[in-house]
Amino acid sequence: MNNQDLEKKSSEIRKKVIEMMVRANQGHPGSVFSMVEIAAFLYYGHATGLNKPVSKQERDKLIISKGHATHVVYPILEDLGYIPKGSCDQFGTEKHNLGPLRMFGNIKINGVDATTGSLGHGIGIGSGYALADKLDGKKHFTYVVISEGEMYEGSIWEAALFSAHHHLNNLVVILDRNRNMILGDTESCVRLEPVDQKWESFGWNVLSINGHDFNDLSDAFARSRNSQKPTCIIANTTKGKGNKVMENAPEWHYWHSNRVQELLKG
Amino acid sequence: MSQRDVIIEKIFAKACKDPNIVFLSVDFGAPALDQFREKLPSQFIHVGISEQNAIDLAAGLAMAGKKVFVYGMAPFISLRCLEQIKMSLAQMSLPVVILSVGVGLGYADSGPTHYATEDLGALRSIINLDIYTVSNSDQASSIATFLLDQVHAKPIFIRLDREATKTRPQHLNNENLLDGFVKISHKNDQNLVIASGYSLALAEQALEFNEGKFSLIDWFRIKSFPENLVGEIEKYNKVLFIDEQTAYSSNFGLLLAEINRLNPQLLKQIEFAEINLGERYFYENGGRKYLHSTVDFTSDKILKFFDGKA
Repeated sequence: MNNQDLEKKSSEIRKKVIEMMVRANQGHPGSVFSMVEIAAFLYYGHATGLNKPVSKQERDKLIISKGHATHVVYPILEDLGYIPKGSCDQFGTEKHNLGPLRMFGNIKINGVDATTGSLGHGIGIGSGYALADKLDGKKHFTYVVISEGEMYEGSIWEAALFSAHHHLNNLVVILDRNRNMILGDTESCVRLEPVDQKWESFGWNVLSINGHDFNDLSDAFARSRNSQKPTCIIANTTKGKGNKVMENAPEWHYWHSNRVQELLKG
Repeated sequence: MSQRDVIIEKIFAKACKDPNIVFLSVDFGAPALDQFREKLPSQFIHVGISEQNAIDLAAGLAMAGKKVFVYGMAPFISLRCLEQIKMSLAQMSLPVVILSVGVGLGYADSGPTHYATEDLGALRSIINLDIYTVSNSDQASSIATFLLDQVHAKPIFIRLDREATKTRPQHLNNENLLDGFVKISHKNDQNLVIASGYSLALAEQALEFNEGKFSLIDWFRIKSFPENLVGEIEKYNKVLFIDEQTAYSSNFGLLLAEINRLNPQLLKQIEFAEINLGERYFYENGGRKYLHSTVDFTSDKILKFFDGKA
């Protein structure tokens, strides 16, 4: 899929996600919107096995460790046939519980490769997948999207140490660096910078890109496939990207039911 | 042979034939582990002192089709990674087996940071997690064989004593293993002691010169709760439960709750009591027996209960 088509897909994903959240009257739209291009590229633009709804043993894996943003993959999973057509439209209706989708992703949803929601687990679980593929001689990759606030969890760094030591070069972490947590900027909370040097010091291959630019994403993922180390792609993004009301507004980490009309105009 | 060595040897024997068995150690050794590391290096992973990562890693390996065992020290492989056990194993129903060594006051002189006397209360609260407390090496062997031959649909937490506890020879049959408890002695039809783990040794000591003073059951599968145990309890008038846990972590509450669920009138018909470690941390040195003596966690106290002197 070329960049123009990927842009179009990204718009469709954003539209679908907002529709779902409006019906459910809840969600984490800012966090979802910052990683739309990342998700679109992984499924439609990158040479991964994610674009076919086969069993996880036969394909790459994707873990949305920032589980509050799992929504981003739901329109994609429906489009690719992982989940039944109509699943997204059922979300937030009175038939919601008859369908597979939930606010946070879990492994009962076909195509979701780990139950997430509690932060800090994804890289550990992903390294388990990656290690198993190495042991079995499989060429699959495991992708894990983390948020920057998640880097405060110690379990992230335990997994980072382990993955580098075991040369899990089939593990790619994408850090969705939108510089906003619930209470604002990460650097005002507990300083994370220099993020790139931290990951490098743990033995990772580190790339820093514009997380909304498909050329950057293409280049980064291509380089990750040739690395001898696990890769951390620092994707610099904008929280709420694609909606003028939400962009860089930390309060849109959560849904605001009294501001929906304003949001829809954005 | 210690409980852990018995179990690890069984796992090793199976792993020699099954390359999908993977053993993760949280920087914890054992004599039986040496051959595992030497002969099956690709199936042994030294994770380092990182309990949380060990469990998440186990989850990923299990979802990729591996049969995973995680091995660590009891106070740490329980509470330090409780969230991971809950979320990455129990909520995803992954059949990972956790071997937790040194329960109770097994590491007596290491001080309270090394005790697993509050772990059961926390672990028990996680649904979709089976828990075993093993009382001797014979039992360890039977449970290991049973679990290795079964296909599981949930994580299993196995609590092992650090010592090679001295109890009567015990060979569990299939019925015992499915039941989750075993009758050790049934020479008294009024009085019953239910013990788990190390406590079984204390109860057997009490019986040594007082055979027939009480009947004795070893409750080794704490969860899933063995419902047939209630059917055994209803035969008695006085039931004493003994558990090497602090007052609020003891399984006594679970036992009574399950009796209330399955046959509530027993709570009025039977006199129940328990012996536990009370509500304190132990900072003294002097070994496990000494620490037990400071809170009267002793075989004498068992006898006193049935003599009406407790």
